[in-house]
Amino acid sequence: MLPAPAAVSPQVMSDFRARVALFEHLLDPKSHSVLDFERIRRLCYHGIPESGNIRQLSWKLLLNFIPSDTSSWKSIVATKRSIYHGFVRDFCDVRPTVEYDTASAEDPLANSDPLSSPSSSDSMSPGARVTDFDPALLDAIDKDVRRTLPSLQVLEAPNTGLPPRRLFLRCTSSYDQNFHAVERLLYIFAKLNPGIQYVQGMSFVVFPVFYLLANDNDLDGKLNAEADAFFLFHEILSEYRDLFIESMDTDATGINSALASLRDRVTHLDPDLAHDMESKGITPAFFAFRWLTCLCAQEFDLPDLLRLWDSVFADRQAARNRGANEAETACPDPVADALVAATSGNLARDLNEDIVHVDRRGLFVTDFLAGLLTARRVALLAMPFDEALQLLQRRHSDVFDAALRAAYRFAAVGDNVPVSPPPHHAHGVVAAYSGAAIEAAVAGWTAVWKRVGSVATSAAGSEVDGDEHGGENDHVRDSTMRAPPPLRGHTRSQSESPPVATVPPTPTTTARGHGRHSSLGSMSGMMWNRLKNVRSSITTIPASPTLDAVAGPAGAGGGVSLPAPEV
Amino acid sequence: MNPEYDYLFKLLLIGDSGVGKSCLLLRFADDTYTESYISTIGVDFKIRTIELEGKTVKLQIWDTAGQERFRTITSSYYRGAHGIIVVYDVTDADTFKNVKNWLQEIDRYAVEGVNKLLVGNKSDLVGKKVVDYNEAKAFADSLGISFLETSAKSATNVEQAFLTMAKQIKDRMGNNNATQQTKSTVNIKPGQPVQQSGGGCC
Repeated sequence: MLPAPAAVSPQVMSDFRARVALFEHLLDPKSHSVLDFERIRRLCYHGIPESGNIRQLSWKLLLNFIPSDTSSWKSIVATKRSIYHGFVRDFCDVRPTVEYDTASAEDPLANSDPLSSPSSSDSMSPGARVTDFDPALLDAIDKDVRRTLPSLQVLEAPNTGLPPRRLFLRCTSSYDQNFHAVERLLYIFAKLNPGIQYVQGMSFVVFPVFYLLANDNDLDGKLNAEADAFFLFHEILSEYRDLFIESMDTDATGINSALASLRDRVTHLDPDLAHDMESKGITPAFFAFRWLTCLCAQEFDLPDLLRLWDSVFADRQAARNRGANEAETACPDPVADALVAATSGNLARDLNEDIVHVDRRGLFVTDFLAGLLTARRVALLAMPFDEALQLLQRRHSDVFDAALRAAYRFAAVGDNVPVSPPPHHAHGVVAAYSGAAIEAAVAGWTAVWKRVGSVATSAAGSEVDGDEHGGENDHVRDSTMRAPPPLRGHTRSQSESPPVATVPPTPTTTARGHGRHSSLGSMSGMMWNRLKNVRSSITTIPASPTLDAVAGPAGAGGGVSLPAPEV
Repeated sequence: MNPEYDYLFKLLLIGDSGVGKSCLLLRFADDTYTESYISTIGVDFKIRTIELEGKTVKLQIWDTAGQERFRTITSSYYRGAHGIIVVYDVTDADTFKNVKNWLQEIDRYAVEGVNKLLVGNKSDLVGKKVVDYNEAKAFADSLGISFLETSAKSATNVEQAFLTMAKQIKDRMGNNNATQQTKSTVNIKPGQPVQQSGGGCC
């Protein structure tokens, strides 16, 4: 599909293709006996392109499912899957059911299902028997998964290759297999972690992972989506599980500390906003509990969420590697160097600059949430308690790009450097507009980022199809990380997207009309180009009803009450 | 006098996971319903302003997560509530049994005299109903609590439930006009939203 690295021509290669090619090269086990993990991690931090199974592979690497040593992949993956199948046998093999047998007999995949062979694996499981079957636990999971993850219904059923079986007897249609897979792995997680059990919110964390793996275009990965997703989920939870544990609420790693960290971060970065919210009585506990425990899984469309988690997982790995001499991990790789050299410089910058401040490593989520709040600052400052809180509890797809851009900046400045106040001219520009345009534009003050260079670019990334105005490079960049269409409702794009997303669309077809789903992974260049069109972009943003209310005076010629800039 | 409303009442929805608290709130605040409403993590929040006996009443409604894990977090919201609605699922006997536990939570965390309302939701699922109306009514009567069966799906009694709650609070406030609580919580000055102290909803 893509040209081989040797055939790459700097003249024709777009940044997107360069990025894809670089990922494919760096992740290719045939080219490397040991992957250059640090280089991959740095790339991932800026976003993983939506192409082939790059993201699946990258996440598996970032989340320690596979090691950098590619020669051991096969055996390690086989062992892990075997372990999971052992868990299924030990915890879930309660099959006194005609339903199951019937379904199994009719399922053409039954024979290829690794779980269908009782003797297929070793026994590293803790030896639990079916007598430990916990119907109440399963019921709690089942009730939750079915009502909270309706999107699983539109995930093509045979993707996982696992027929409905054992444990889950309520299967009535083919797509239920996806519910079974998610429920089963949550159930096994709960059984293996009795101190945590199942907590609401976990299903939101597991869903994107399962969805991604079940959409793998690598058949082996797809057929083992459930087992692999279990390990990725387990790894994610190993970092964030304390947020789910009630007895940890007041500990340093518990939810209250996480909420306090967010409050402190906003106070540091945007004291005016923090004090305003505090004076209104809006505390993070009212809105950020879900943000933190679910890693924003409920707040954004799936493509945006996957994009966010690229950075979150890469950042987390940076935290783990803190102290290690990362420079030493880089080894000579002429092909990679050539691919990097073939682009306009964005790849090189992403690779060579580690913009995460050492103090902020592992805290990308906090910085992102701080970015989310600052992206909403104009509305929040103008709104009374009720409206502000409702705004915060709403979904935030419209300011995803602005929040992500702010997060990069916050992560880069660390704890010591104060963030620049909004420049005067920013207010002058945006005061002429209303509604979402103002919010999106002023939100960008936090992204007065030297690399990006402007205040209002958030508009381009949030609601406007900037490609219409941008150059060719924009067009490509806009689709750089394009992910499958969002599955959950409530969004404008749902009706525009096919309900079943199995294969990521190609860049050329997806760049059209979905600027919001563009990624910031390599946004800098796009931002530069879009600056030229900021004004026209802003005027085309449809104002949201909520913000209309806030911006009402502006529309009436009164002017929006903007925060006084600090000088 | 506040130009927007005469009263501000804060309500809290509690009850087991999956009984339909969020759907009730969605029906009441937005008059919509969805089968696939996402589970509440932590707390949710909506407002609706109603007319009650010639007065404008703003209802600030806090919707809580039902799962055990969230109890300590949600318990901090009881204190500021004027009224608490305990919801169970008429098709799930366990959720009705647990109403007792929820009432204990109220006794433990809410202010004395807080108004309570028992609601049996999903009344549209007639064929699956397992909690008898009379049983629930007798239980509520024994505790001096109002009781309603509702359906967020068909909108049956949803309006009624919240209006009942609001009316009771208003009556209590009227009777207690001299109390400090009434003065400090009901008469809101113009442009001054109710102050939220850290950790609680008021």
